[in-house]
Amino acid sequence: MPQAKIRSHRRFWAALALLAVCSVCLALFWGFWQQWSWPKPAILTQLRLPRTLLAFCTGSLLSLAGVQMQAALRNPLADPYILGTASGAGVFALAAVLMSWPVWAIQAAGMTGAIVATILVLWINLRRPDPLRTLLVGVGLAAGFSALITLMLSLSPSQQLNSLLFWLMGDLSSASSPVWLVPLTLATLFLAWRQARVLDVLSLGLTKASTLGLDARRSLLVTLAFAALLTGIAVSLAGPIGFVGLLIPHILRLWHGSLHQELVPASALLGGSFLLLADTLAQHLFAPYQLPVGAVTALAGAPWLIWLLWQRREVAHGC
Amino acid sequence: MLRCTQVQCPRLKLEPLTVRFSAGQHWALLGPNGSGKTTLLHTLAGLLPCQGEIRIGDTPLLQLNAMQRAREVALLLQEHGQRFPWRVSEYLQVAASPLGQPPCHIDQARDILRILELEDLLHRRVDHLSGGQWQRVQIAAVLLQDSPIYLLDEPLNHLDPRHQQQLMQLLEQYRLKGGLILSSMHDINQAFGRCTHALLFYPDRLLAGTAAEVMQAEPLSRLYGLPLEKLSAQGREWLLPADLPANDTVSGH
Repeated sequence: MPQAKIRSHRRFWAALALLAVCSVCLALFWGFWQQWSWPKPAILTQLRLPRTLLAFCTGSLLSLAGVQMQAALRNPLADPYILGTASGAGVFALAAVLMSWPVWAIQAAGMTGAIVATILVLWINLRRPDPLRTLLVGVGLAAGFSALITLMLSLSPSQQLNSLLFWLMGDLSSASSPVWLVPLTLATLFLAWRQARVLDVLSLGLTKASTLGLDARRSLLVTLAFAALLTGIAVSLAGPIGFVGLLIPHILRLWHGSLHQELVPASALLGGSFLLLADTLAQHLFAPYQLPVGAVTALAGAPWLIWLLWQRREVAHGC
Repeated sequence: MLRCTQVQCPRLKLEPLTVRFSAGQHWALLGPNGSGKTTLLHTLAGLLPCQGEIRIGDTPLLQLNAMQRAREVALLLQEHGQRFPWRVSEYLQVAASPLGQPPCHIDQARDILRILELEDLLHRRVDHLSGGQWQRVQIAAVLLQDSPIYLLDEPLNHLDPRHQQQLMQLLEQYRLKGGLILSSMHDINQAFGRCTHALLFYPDRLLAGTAAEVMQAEPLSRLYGLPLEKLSAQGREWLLPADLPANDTVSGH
């Protein structure tokens, strides 16, 4: 590998690591500069550390789901939110909340909803898989699930309404950080990284992937099911948080390239840092009021999405 | 090297194909649009089911798993869809290496990249390339697979005349080194000048033979429904279209 390329790799990973460390320090020690004193150990260990871990892991899971969906559908606009996976998880988790189910059952319902939504998208597209068609089916499905969510909200008791709306915009304030979350995130990262070559080949398209020796349809199904599972876990923990799965892999593709051996771990790192920063801002920017973190990610993500579509239009006219 | 016995693609209403494609041959697959050239290439690559038997060497194609097939056969697809935003160097690294083989390194590919004039494009994104540049990138990826059999679906598409000539010369080198090449194409003069054999796709049957036997004005005129004349110039023969009959042209022109 040429020296310039090695230097560029080192700079890339150093920047990601620095961003992760800064976002963690900011989340743990926010306010340090106001009184020049460290937060009390109890606040650090019982409040800030669990929430930091929760935000970082949720961001990593959503970002990993986005990478896999984009590779499988060969579409840089695919993400759990746009494809209806997150809304599906939202409908099921919301129904569980309304029925006052325990936390573990809400999480299981979220996962089930994500998988049901993915199965619906795949089932409609399986005969003739086509990225644009898949995207449109996902958008339609997301609209249908949104209507269901509105219906459930309009029928829910008014005392629950505010917290449900907050949860639907993506909210980490009411969630706890389960002990299994960190090992689970590391395990999913490892599994996705092991599949990096498959993701590379899959993003060439199903027919091309088949000519390179991949069982393309099976790999497509497995990859999307895995991505749906990650989305389900993330949504059940923190509500449907949009744009992380879209934004992070795309930034990294533009910045460093599309080979998944590096894109997968980089997405987990940057996705975690991004959601943690967004959550820190959501907590403290308008304190004592807290914003839902989904609103902050959407505020950052929506202009990016519009710019992305604008740029693709420019390219299409340029060729 | 590649033997078809009574091969019939379910999607096509053609008579069964029995033919032996050997090492060191370049076959031109010629026929009107929609006559089944792409379907046959995909069938030979093992992507579509068929009746009859296809053998690579002594082994039936169906007995090879996907990875073994990928090592034996490289297929150039006609790509019209959305392009994933790879950089050219990344695309070549991924698309030139069948699963189970080490990734292709750009340094090993310098000759092909030079001939196809891709060296300056390596850092560009494939969704920013023109149609001809993208076609050359895909051809490079297929040739870098280093397979004994190359199935090329319209390799000359989008290429300007100079790049067409360069590609045909490059394919000639692969053929002389013992490669088997099957190319579907619409440029009958490139096929006539460069291919050793031809397979003609009539609506109801296939005609296979050496280029000298099959690529004559009369069978090709029947194939395309277009009168062709054979002319001699610059030491070789050329097939040129004559005027269409009056009722096939737009009235008033």
